[in-house]
Amino acid sequence: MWSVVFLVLLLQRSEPLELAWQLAARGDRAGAEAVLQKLVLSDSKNTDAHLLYGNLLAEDGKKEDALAELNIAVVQRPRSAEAWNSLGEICKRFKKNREALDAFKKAVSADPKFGIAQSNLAQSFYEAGEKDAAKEHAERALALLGRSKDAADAAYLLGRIELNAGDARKAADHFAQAVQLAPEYAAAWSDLGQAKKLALDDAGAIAAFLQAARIDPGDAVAQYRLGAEYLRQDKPGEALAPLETAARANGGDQSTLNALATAYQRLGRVDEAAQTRRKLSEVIRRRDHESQNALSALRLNNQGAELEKAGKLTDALDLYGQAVQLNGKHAGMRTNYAVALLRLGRWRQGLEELHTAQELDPDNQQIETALRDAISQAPLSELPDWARAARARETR
Amino acid sequence: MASRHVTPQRPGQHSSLPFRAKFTDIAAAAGLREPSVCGHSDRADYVIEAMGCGVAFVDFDNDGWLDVLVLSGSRFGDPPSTASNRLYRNNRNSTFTDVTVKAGLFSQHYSFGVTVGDFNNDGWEDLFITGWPRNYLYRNNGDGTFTDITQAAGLLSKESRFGSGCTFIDFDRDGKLDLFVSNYVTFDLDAVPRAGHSTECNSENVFCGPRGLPYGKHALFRNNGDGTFTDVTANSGIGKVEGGYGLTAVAADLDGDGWTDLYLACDSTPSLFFHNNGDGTFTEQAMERGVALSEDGMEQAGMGVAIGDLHSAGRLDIVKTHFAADTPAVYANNGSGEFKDETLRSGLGVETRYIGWGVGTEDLDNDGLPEIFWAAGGIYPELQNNPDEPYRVPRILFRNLGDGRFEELTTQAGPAILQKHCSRGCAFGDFDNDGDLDILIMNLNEPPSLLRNDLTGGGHWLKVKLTGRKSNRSAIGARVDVTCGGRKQSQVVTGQSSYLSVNDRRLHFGLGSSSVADLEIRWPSGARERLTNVAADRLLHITEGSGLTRAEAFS
Repeated sequence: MWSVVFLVLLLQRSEPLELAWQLAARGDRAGAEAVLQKLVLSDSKNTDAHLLYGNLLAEDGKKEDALAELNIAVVQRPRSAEAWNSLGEICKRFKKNREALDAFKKAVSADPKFGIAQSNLAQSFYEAGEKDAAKEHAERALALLGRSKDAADAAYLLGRIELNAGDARKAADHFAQAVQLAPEYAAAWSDLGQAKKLALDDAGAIAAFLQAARIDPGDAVAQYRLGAEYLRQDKPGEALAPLETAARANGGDQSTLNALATAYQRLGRVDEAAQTRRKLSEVIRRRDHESQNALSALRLNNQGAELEKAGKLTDALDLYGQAVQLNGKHAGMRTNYAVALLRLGRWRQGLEELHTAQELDPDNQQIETALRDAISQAPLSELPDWARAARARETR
Repeated sequence: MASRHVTPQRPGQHSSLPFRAKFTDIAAAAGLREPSVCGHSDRADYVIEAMGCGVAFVDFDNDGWLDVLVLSGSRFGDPPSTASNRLYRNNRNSTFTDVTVKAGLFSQHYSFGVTVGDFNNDGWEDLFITGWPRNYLYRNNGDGTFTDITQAAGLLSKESRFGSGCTFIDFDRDGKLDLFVSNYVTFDLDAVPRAGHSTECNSENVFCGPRGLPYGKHALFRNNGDGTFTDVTANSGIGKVEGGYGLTAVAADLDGDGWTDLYLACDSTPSLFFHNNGDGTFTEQAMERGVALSEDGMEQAGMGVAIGDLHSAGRLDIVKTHFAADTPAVYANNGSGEFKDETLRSGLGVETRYIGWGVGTEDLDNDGLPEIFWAAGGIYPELQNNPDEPYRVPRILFRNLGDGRFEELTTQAGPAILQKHCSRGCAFGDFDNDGDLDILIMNLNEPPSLLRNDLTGGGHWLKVKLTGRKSNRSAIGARVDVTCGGRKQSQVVTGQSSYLSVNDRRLHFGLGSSSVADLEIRWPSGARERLTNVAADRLLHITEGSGLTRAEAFS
């Protein structure tokens, strides 16, 4: 992402912009942001400044601010494929997948020969479950990007598409192309191993998994896949080291724990096997209990909704609160709780809850609208800092 | 019910070998006409309306011809007055007569599973049927009628239960059939949202469960020998297991130590292997033995179970069916009860389209190699028009290629395989006594299917009916090894398998071109008997301690 943005800016940058760019390149992001903040205030039509500033803010995790800058950039330069692509990448970074897809579509529409945007669009279509469109754009990206490393992403995506379609051999061909274009592409090696495994090519699977684990020894998935494949091929001795590495990197992973317990068992290390199985059982039971809590939370939430309908908002709030306690990851229940708090005038707590709900479900337009309305209606003294900033942005 | 979202394997080159068994559904002509009611045709309000139920081939009147038991559920709001389990007596001419009412089996509740066995060793097969809100033990009176003796036998629970898997098992080798019962979920009508009353339980406005509902608990009852049972769940170690969404239960000596173990397919939770310690206790060892989870360590929606010798190696392997977008599991036994997941190598990974239920590993074409057949069907009637949620679907049949690999058959096996139904339990047996295996299938809100096997040019066969003396009379848990043509086949007499169903208790062996075979019987008592050079194409009646008492050729 950076390479594209910087390449554009390199050709067009003004003096303060150049300074900001140099600061950013040196790793002084705070300095760069300070320069850019001033620049966008003094020269609000400086699209390049908005672009760079947005990207820096995104890297700092400042979602709303970053998106605001990028949205200004695309309004100012609606025919710029680079600007739309940059907005898409930032949307994607913050899991606003629907908006990312729209932005990549506009980038490709502005410049159909922009290979990276084609690749990004393909990836977004893939994640949206639109496999045919994903395939079409990945093939275009591959053709446009030639033998560059960026092309490896498109080849990799085509491999994923074929793997999902059940054609392990075609998938293996694409993954092989990806690792040829980018020999240190660990994920592609790992999936090449999966494709070889499904094609019953035992030796090919091990060879690919070994490469993935070599490139990124800290990658728990790569280590697990290598170990599990050794185990499947009745080589528990070889399986043990990668599985132990995987378990150290991600001790709560069910697949890893299962394979590790099996390896210990087959090697006669029964105590370690039993200990690992106990951990595995705990992982499974914990998740089941979470499911059971989720259903209990649903019941409480529904009872709360009934009470709210009957005008008993305070009683409803209590049940909504209990529901959120049991299932804190449910955006809808948290929204109910937040709205009840807001209706009872507990602005600060309600805003915080609604903000959390939005983070849980970033693509949810209703929550976004509710949050915007709440921020605009709440007394200034009740606004948390993030909400004050949001109100200021809206005003601007 | 949950899926691993597995991508199907791409099928390899088809063998193009002929398949000589052709299946035709003759249920309607045979008089099997009553539907099994399970919720409404367009909706299931609660999980109890979607799980469907089992079927049984049982010779309840001891005339040598298989009768048919088809279980039924019901539905909330407007239960049909005809909804009941149905017993059909075999008229010995490929037709049946509904004798439900006369037999005393008419009952209107939700039935799920059945196990058949002679629990009082009086020579007549009794029935235990699980259900909601209660289970039933029916004693066969030997005169064509049954009596509900659940309460007198000490098997009536005070609280309502969602009974599911069940199997008679002689776990203490005292010659009396004990009883294992699993429960699917703890189901409280007041606590579970009704389908359509919440969109959050499942994303599609369908019924809740099993995930989110409290686990069902499993129980073991020891047969006191006087018509009553004692709950030994706690002392036997069965109660040590926290639970799980238990469905089909199978009793078999899977590790070859002479004591009958229990394997329980569990939905969305790890399946359970209760190892019989030989001292009246069990230890749960599914994870140690490799039959709890998928190869990648994930829970699967375990519905049905078949036990069979898939590799002709004299070992009892396991096949378990699961949800759509997942493969069934093939667990290969190393002979001592350690299993390896061979799903990928077996070729069954090509089939992930439908939710699998009743399953069998049976030699359908008498070539000496067991096929794998399973019944399938959707779970959410509300979504039946959604192509991503197939509801009425064909049956699935895989031919055994003989090297641990299987290939899927569709049009080659007759019209009934491709006919679409929403099915659950199935049972395998030779209802017309013609030397091949037919298939009885339970369909939701439809009459059952009876797939008559019209086998042409098939190989030789043997059937074995065991009668225990020191062992339980039904010989549940007995194992028979048949050797012919340099190949060994092993089968076990089960009290339940498939999906909550019961197969013909007469074990059926295809022999291919071999016209004689050697047999070894391992009785649950520990006794062994051998028969050599037995002529093929006969039903062998073998009584414990007395050997072959009768060889019956079908006319």
